[in-house]
Amino acid sequence: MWFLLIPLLAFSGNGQAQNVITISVDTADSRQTLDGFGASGAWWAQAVGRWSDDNRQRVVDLLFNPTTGIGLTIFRYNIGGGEQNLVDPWRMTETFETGPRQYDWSRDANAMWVLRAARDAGATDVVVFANSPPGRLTISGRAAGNPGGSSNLTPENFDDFAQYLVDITRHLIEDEHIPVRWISPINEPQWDWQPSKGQEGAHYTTDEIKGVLLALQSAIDESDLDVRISTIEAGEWSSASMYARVLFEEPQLAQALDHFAVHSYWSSAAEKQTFVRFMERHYPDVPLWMSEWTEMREGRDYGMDSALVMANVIHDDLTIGEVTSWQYWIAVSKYNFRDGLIYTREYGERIEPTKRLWVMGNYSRFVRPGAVRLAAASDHDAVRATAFQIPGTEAITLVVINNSRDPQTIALDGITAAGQMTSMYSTSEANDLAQVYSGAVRQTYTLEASSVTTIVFESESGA
Amino acid sequence: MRLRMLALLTISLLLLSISMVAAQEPVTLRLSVWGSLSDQEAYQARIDLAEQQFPNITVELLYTPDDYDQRIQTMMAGGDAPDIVQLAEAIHGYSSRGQLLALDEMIASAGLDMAARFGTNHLQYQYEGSQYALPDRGGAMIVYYNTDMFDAAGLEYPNASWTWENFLAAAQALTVREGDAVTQYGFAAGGWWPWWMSFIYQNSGAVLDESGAPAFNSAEAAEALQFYNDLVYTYEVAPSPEDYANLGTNSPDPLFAQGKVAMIMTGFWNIASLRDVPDLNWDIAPVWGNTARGTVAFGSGLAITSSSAHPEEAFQIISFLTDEAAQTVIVERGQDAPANVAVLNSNLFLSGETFANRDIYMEAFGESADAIIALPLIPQWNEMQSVMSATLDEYFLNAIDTQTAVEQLQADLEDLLQ
Repeated sequence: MWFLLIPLLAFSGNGQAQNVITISVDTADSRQTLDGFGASGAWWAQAVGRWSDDNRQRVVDLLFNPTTGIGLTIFRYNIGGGEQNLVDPWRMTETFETGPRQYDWSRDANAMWVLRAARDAGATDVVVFANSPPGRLTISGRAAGNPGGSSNLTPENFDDFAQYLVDITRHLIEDEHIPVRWISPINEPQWDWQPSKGQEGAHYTTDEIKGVLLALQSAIDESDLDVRISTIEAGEWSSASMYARVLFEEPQLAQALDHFAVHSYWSSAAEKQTFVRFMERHYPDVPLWMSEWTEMREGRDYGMDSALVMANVIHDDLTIGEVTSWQYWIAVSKYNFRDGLIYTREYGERIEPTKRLWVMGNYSRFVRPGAVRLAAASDHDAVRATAFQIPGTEAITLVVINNSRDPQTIALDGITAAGQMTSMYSTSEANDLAQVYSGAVRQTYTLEASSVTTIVFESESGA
Repeated sequence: MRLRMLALLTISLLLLSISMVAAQEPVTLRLSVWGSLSDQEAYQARIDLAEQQFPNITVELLYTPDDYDQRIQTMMAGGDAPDIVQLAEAIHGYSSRGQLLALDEMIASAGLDMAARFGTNHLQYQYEGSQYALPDRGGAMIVYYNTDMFDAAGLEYPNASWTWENFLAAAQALTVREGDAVTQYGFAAGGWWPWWMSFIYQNSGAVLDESGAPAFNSAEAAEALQFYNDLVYTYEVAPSPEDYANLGTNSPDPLFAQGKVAMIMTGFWNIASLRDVPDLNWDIAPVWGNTARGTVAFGSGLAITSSSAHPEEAFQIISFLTDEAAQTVIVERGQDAPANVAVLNSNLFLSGETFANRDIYMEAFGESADAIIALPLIPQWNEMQSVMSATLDEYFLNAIDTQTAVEQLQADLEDLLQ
């Protein structure tokens, strides 16, 4: 197959010779170690989990299977607050809780099926997250927020909420053998969550945030569970520094928290740079996670347009934000929106993979947990590259975005490739994470127009 | 001879008909804008008018709601640049790289009198003597104030003669506390550059001096930043970043609409946001000064990318969009202050009848004209913003003191601009 590609290597589609773009990789300049790539089960697992076996398995495999799908390793399981009074049935949740410290573990069976199947397919690490405490504990009596958009959990209930999260986590780990590593109790606390927004959510003041997190850490400490807190799920980068200061100036929390989680909605590269500079100056040892993003734009898009938007956000978050994990929001969408890695419909069992799915796979299938990012640079603005290495091996993986509408030819500088093999996997209008080359290391490689390409270098023994 | 004349006539007619066909050849242009969904609708309405005027030209609107400059730069680098781009303060990052078309020849050919159409507004879109955009939207940053709160406190309304002393006294009188908690703020602002930058200029300071060198290490700039931060942490008349988050928002505008703030500073567009808020009584005024006056002119222009395959048609479109008919749509929809001087001075705009459902002090815009800051629109505008935000983010969280802030700002900008 690869010989068919030779004519592309030096010439563009119109037969014009191309300038060769140099991608430089500095193997001596190691950056962050990756925890992995993931996506959330919110808003779809309850629906897809009741589909026929073949179809629901296919969705899970597309997302988590590293051979037949994109190999996500992190699954975000939504601990529902039990909100049943919403316009959109997909956004309603079941809660396990039937009363204080009483649970019906047969609930949320469909999403639980997806969770188990995700684990079996390849999700090695699970985040459990709550958009809201259960209605029993909230001021409004609902998990969809307080009608005025103000706080919805009183300090008297902090301990109960923490215990509820730990109880559910214990059940998932000990009874279901789910690899839960992190509990995320709070989501986008700065927004005025209220029932009119049509989804579960809870606003917290900074004092309430500290109270909830300290209560949760205390409950985790009292349990024998090996889990850490993932927080604060800040809704945007531009106001994240305030939350970082609130959390990491509190010594107990500074010690307890595994990382700082931020969402990339509405956030520019400059705002990410600003926040990173703030963290470097004040809390340089705190890893960052990007734990939620989807393009906030009406209308479906199955193609490379939105996939390239996503690729550039991933690139910025990995390189400017130096995030150690990148997690997509709803993995499956029925909406008329640029969200979801896979589209479906409200009714039926339609499975429509998008290019976003495969582009995410350009990262997640090849950049596995434990990979270390290496400094990389491109001498062309339209071509952007990230590089990764598995410690202890010579294998290097490059993910290269070609934002240009033309094919581009690249050469690599800094990769010692003697005796190595190369494999290329491309996502473009024509290809879905397809292997487009496998063989000896070459002087140059051609990227398809408007594409994301993963290039894996490894020795013939596979090391 | 007559035969030759006939032949020439025939050829001439043939060439004329070919050129007429060519003139009518369909052309599709792409125009990129940012903003809210209502902005998008206003642009589309104006484009609809332009397409009526030029039936052979189709204009596709590209709406990029976030990270605009990065997305446009990516498109340009990828050979996929729109023909027309909306640009503002970052324009000379584009013009200095040769990514925009100099419009001078087309302006001259069209006989477009820039001063007559735009006053002095177009000067900010000039770089090294060439014009790179036609001004499209404009209008100064003004004060919005809650008249009920002022009346309840027995205070005079803000006006152009106010200094920081008047402003602070009013903000203190308008701040209401229940115990330690503030239930009504006298003022609200934050980290957005037009807010803090206007305070620096009101104190006769500057971001860059006349030679283009960083000027944060001046007493005037330091004093202005100190006063600005004191509003939050010393006088406690304005919310901190933490207060905003605790109130469920990240900007002053919703707090003003909710009746939790007496004074904010923002642009024309807030009139449309506030007009239908029930039980909220408000008016507008020019921004105060101190040792000088200073406010920011918001606005954006329409530029043609240098890679456009149809620059002449693109110019026809941007010229039409900045002419009276299309600019009137901006006013009719209450989207913004128009850049076209004739429309800015029209009764339709000055009466406010199409965008304000109350009698408001529209003269505030005219009275702001001589207080507008000459912004340092250098090619590194975006990089400069990023560098300044990194320190001011810390400063506005009260994580560093004023001296540290101005020293960091000065050093970082000197590094950037060296």
